Amino acid sequence: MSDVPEAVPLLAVDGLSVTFGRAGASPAVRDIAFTLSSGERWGLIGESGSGKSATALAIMGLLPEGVHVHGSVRWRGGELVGLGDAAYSRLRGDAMTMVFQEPMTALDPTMTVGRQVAEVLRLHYVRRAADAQRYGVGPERIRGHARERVLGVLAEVGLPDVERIADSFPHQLSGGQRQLVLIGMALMNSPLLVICDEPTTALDVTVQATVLRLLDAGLSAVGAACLFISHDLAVVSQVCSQVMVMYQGRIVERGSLAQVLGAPAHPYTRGLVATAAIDAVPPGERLPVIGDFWAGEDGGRDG
Amino acid sequence: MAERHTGPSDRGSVVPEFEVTGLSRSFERRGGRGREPVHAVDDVTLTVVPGQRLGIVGGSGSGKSTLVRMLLALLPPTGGRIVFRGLDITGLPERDLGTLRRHVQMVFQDPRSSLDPRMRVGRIIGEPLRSPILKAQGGLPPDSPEQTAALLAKVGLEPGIAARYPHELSGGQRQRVAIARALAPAPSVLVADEAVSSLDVSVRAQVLNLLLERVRDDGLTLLFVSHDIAVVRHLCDSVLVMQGGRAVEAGPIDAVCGNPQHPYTRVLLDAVPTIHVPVQ
Ligand SMILES: Nc1ncnc2c1ncn2[C@@H]1O[C@H](COP(=O)(O)OP(=O)(O)OP(=O)(O)O)[C@@H](O)[C@H]1O
Ligand SMILES: Nc1ncnc2c1ncn2[C@@H]1O[C@H](COP(=O)(O)OP(=O)(O)OP(=O)(O)O)[C@@H](O)[C@H]1O
Ligand SMILES: [Mg+2]
Ligand SMILES: [Mg+2]
Repeated sequence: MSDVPEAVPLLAVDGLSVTFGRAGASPAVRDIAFTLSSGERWGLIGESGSGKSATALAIMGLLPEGVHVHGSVRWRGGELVGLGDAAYSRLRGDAMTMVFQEPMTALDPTMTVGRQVAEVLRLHYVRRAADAQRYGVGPERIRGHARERVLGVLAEVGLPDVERIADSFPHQLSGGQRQLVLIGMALMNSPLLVICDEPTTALDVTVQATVLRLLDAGLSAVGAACLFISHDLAVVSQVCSQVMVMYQGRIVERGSLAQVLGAPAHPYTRGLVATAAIDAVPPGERLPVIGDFWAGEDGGRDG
Repeated sequence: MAERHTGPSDRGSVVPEFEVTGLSRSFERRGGRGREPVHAVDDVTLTVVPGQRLGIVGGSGSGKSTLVRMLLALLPPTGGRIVFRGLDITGLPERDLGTLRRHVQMVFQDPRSSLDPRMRVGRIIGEPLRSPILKAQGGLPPDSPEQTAALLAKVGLEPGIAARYPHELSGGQRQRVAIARALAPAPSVLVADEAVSSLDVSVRAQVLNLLLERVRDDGLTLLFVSHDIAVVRHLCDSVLVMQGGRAVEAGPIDAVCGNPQHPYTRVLLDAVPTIHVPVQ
């Protein structure tokens, strides 16, 4: 944003490694580095189990106790690795938000969806109470309108019947409806960075198109940055202009979409692109897999 | 709703796996005395014959998961009838559902909440093989570490995964464990609810190849819920399109995709995204 000098990226990840606590376990994320500046949208693709979600959770400070995180994650120049929980949670859900791969784990099963959305709104306004004048209203006033705002957030992501959805518990919603609620929550406070982890896996193509438009508009409006994890190359190509490829915990390739998907340099990426076009294979016949093209790298592989 | 024909026509004489008539499920609204309930599934009629591969597509909240959960007798219908292999299973108590449990397995949409968090992957996969209800029906493959390792390998997972807990896996690894678990007792019918939705294209290809292998070698019947039309076209021979709880279109896959009759089917087919790579 405008008050940050050009030279300091919004997010700078450097030498980041993540090791889950088993004795002798090999790291799930190995010494990765990248930066995200305001307005940039990077896709993150790669094999299942290659460390994409672990990277996202490390940035968000959401890895469980006992997981070893090494290296540096800087937010507008300030170090986040080792930051206390209180300070971290002030960032989360406000300046930096995430849409989780499995919505059920991100929602509180004991609280109605409407209350959960209202809670995120409330935290946002409590934090912004100091500059409440900017909104022209005090925090109490905003609280009074919470129900309306909540319904607005739900309607914006394309959910129908928003009164009913707001009064539902997460298990009373369909998979796609839960994902839409999370997307609404991630975008509603005009964050500066949005991390999306497989955000459209449960959405049909028509709703997906709505959500991608909404994400685009939300990001553009505040010049926010986005890290977009997806296995769907078509979806990545609609949101991002640049892409990184992860394989066995490492970023093995990065660049513009045209470069990476058009002329992939790493054998994993070449295999990925070659296997992407499912409709090139006659129905019912064997689909090509990466193993057909490349034997892979051995070592350090545990899934 | 009129009887809909969902499979190729030469299958008329065999006993269907499922015969569903006027199936409905509504949910009361909260505090909603006197208010119109939510019609999650509304008067759905369909027949699934052995070896059929039925894709179920439709928008978010159109009733797909509710429909398949009723077929598995995991949720009681509020209307209509479900006949499995000639037996009316509507409202039957669990102890009378042995045949259904033995022959039909399901992969749930949210693997995180369907895999028991207290069990290691190896036990999770072997669980159906130890179930007394399934054992009573006979014909189960052995429950052995080798069998578990073989199943894991088929979905592209290392044998070491068997020693982990579900929360120690990536999202796609959990999805594959759920698939391995469902295939373990060699079911006749596999009901998969968005089962490959977060797999990268290569791993997804491997899993789809595995399903097609089971279809070819064992005549596996598939009910495959997916929002991904390309996957459904590859895997399925017929399709059911749902909207607002209703089955708005059904038929052979080529006919429906090639000449969609319902406006919503057309919208679905038109909205399939393609890869936009700017020319270098
Ligand atoms: N809590 C944990 N304990 C042990 N290993 C874990 C844990 N969480 C993840 N892993 C392992 O770390 C690796 C990276 O997992 P991660 O969730 O980042 O993968 P991913 O790239 O997001 O994959 P997917 O596309 O399947 O979601 C995987 O091999 C996974 O098995
Ligand atoms: N337990 C429940 N209580 C109340 N309403 C429910 C319940 N389960 C589902 N619904 C509602 O029923 C409708 C159908 O839900 P269902 O989960 O069957 O949809 P779906 O087609 O599987 O959608 P998705 O593609 O998003 O998974 C939705 O509007 C949902 O909110
Ligand atoms: Mg993941
Ligand atoms: Mg569903």
